[in-house]
Amino acid sequence: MTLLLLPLLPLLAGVLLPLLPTGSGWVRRGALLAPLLQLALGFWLWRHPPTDLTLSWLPRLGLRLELGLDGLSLPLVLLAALLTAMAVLAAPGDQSRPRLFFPLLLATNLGLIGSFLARNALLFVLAYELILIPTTLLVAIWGNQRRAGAAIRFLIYGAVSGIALLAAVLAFGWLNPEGLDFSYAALADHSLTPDQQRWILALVLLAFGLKLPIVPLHGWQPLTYSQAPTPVAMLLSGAVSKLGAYGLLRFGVGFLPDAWSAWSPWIAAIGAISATYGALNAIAQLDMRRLVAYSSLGHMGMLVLALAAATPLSLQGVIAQMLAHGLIIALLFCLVGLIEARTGTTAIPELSGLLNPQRGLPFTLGLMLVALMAAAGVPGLAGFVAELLVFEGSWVAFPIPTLVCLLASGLTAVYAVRLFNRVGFGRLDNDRADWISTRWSERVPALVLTGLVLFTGLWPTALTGFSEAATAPLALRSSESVTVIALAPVPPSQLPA
Amino acid sequence: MTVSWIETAWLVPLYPLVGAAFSLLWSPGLIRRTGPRPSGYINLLMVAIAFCHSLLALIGLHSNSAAGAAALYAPPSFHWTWLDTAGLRVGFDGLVSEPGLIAMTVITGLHVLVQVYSIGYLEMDWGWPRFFGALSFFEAGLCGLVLTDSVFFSYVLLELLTLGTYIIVGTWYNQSLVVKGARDAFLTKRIGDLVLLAGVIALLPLTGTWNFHGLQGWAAEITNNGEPLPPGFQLILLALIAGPMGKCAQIPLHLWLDEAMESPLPSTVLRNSVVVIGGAWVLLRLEPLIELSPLVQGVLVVVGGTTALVAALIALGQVDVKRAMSFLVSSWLGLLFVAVGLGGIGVADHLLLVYPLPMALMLMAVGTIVISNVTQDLTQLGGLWSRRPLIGIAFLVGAAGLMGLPPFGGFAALRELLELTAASRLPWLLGGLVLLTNALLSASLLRVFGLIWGGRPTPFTTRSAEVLWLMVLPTLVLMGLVLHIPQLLVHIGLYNLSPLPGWGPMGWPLLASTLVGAGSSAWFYLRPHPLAELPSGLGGLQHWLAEDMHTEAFYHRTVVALVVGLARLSAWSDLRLVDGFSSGTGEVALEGARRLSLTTSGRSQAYALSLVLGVLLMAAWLLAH
Repeated sequence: MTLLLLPLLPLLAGVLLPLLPTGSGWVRRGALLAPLLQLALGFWLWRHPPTDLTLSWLPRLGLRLELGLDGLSLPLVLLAALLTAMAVLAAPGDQSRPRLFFPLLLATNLGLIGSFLARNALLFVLAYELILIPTTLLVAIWGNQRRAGAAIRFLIYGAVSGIALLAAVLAFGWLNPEGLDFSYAALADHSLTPDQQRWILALVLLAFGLKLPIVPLHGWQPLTYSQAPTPVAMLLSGAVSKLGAYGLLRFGVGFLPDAWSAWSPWIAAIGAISATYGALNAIAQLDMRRLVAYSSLGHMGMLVLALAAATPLSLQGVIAQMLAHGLIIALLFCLVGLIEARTGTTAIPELSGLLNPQRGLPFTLGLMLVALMAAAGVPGLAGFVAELLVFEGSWVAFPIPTLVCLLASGLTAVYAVRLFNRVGFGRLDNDRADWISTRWSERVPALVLTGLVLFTGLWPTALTGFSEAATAPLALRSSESVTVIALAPVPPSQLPA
Repeated sequence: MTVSWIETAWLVPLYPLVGAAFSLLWSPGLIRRTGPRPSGYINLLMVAIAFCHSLLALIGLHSNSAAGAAALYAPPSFHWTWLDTAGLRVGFDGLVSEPGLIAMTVITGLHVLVQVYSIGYLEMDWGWPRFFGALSFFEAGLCGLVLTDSVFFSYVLLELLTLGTYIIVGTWYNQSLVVKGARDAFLTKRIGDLVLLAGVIALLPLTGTWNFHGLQGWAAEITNNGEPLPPGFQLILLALIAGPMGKCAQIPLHLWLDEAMESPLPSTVLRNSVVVIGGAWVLLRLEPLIELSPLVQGVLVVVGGTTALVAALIALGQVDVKRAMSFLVSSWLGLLFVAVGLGGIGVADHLLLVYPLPMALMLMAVGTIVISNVTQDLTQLGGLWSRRPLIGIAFLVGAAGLMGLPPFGGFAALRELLELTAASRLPWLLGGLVLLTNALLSASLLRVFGLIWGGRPTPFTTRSAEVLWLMVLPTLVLMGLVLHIPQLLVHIGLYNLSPLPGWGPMGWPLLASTLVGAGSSAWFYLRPHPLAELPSGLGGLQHWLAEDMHTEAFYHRTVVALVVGLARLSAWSDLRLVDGFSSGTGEVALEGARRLSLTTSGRSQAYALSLVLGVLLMAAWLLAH
């Protein structure tokens, strides 16, 4: 039953917060408490693994409240809890309408935790859909100037993703000869024909490709990330988009292995294209938020490559990339938010010389350098661990897409250096620049995230240790089976039985 | 006690790392009250500790005690597992070997001298924490590089040095040239690093190990069993040598070293002497693999030979003294590449050992001139022999240490290289290349000397005061060391040299080439000579060389233009296609919603009816099941 506490915490807090008085700051403290408790509970559950929880809900629909915590869910639950806490901390001190804002953040958290804990596909769909509502509202109410358009677009893409997922899950259930059962256990030993598998996989790819997103399904992403308020952008990019990867791993690799390995060369190609396309677009951006958004697109491409390869090592890379990218992208948005709060702009051409120790923002820019280098995959930081596992794991299966992703990794360095050169280096604009230094309270989320990016880079077991036992059974190819460089993907005949 | 210094030698990279970490307290302005200087002193202290430790370990190794001898033949190793998941174990498998200890002593010793020198050079600067922190970071990276037995961690450390280069070149970041230099240095080096990473990743499935000793065993097995090379191996090997090529500033990845000259001079001293050597170190560790592939050996000879000759020519055309010295770095390391390509690992070792100290000495000497005359333009300097003779002598000693002039250090190494080329398949071509490069190197060095110390004083040099003792003292200490390089090498038992070190049949041609190069350069530059400026017909050539053969423009027109073009294209497609489609769907949805809104009447009966209908439909469906 302790498992039930994880989703109950944000639910309870979300209901109680609106009852608190607005001006006292207790709303924020309460909103912070829930994810922190969640985090502590998550770590406790890691040391004391809980048994799965099954409660009957709507048995005729095949819907049961089935919750479980395995090596795939646990790291993502921790990530979601951490990023929710950081998002709360990153909200401005005078957050407008806090009694609505923070509960909506917690509702997002509830949806995330529900999705990660779900052991029933229909329950997963419910939680997955639940996220769309608070996030759309958060963008629509607190976003920047073009928030209305951004929210509509986000909503439409999210709705299509939800419908595709629902269709896939219903098809799973209806095609099951043993009656309606949406539990993961039933889904895992289905007896679908290859054709049916392919149709369902197409829907799954559409649903989670939209959420991740991958090229060309990313139309919502740059606009939404650039219009969302900082805490929401952190949560969306850091945690919500990981649902896409999680879904592909669970539903694609896990439940549809035959269709997945049949299509994996194409999926790998899409990943490589996404990685390159995202990085190239990031180079061309003139706005920091949009740059970070496209950089995220590129990193998701690498993740898709690792999913396609599906070797034990590359799947560990998937988990590591989810966590590392979650930390890095949230950190980047947090820092961009800090810069925006001080200078009033995110336009790259309008900023320069912020590293100046007297009148610039040296502390923020120092952290920015770490974040950018982590995104560029410099060793010693979280991003490198993930990229190493992705590349080493995918190389044996798909050498050419891996090389393309390596090239894309080179391009990430271009936009990282370009951004830092323009914004951090250079001469300070004397007319405008006398920015007030950031306060410690504002620096906390950025500092925590930077610390984690460094820590996991130096001690990567923190990224991979949770999930090794859980990813190994999902692998579709062996890491070592190929001793000679294969210039073609491993044929399915070489797959382990 | 002696052995414990050796066994704890893994601590050496950690001391400067602690110093660098301390800098973070000052760099973003967390501590303001003390001013930035304490960060410099802390770094100097940590670097000095690192030097003492490596020196004690080296002495322990050579003090003939049984324990030292044991350490010599079975070097102590240490292991630290960084990552162990899904069958992949990546560990920093360190090895405290004799060459490693020598290298660490050189690196840490030079760092001590340079950090003392920096206190003088950056007397008035406000960027101390970043600068000293980055210097210590470099030292930590280099010491780690010589300790590790893993090609993977070699890559990691080379990449970190690339990041360090970016930070240190950007020290004076409010100058636009500096910003550009930092960017170009980072990106050019990153290209080499990424190709190296690709090679490292592809190597593992083939060899099953990333450890140099394991790779050596693997290569020996292939050779002994007469097995054919695995397909793709040569490509992987080419990728592996791209990292050292970038780090050693070999053509076509040489651009960064030139651009990195925008950094403060003390960091240039270290970069040109020990950091570039990091690349050569990795190359030497890869030698057992390189031996397997004649193709890669050939590539090394071609790349190294071309760089040696061309970079020496370019150096002759430079007017910026730092850039003139940087191209000499590429040129000398080109000779080292040739040696590795010809399979002469001992020669390459020798070239590696005699190089760092003279190069550092010359740059330190040049630095004392640049700081007090406020210019690094060679055409603005001159006539300093009457004013700064001591530093002039120091420069000459450094130059003598590199060019093939007995009894100084470079002579024996270059003579061995000449013998190696004479035994190769192209003795005349390669031997001629070595002689010509040596002549050009000597000429370049004498040209720099002549333009600074020869001739008449210029407006910049009429008042050239001696600089702070903090800069002069390390320079002169280093001069003493450079003069003793051959003896030092004999002392640590590496080379059994005769009083005129290693005079052999190749001694005469080598000496002749040095004398011709240096002599003609002295003729032109020691006193102003009308021909020192090439006649206008040849002025284009000089300009072409001075502009690094327009390499930068070439890159701008090719690689940079390609990336920018592709970036613009994808931005355009994203705006027109993806974004256009998305906003199209948005508009359709809004329009649909507007139309739908027309269907609402506002009458609650209609809503209630539709609700009831929905409930009925659902109930019917449930009952049907």
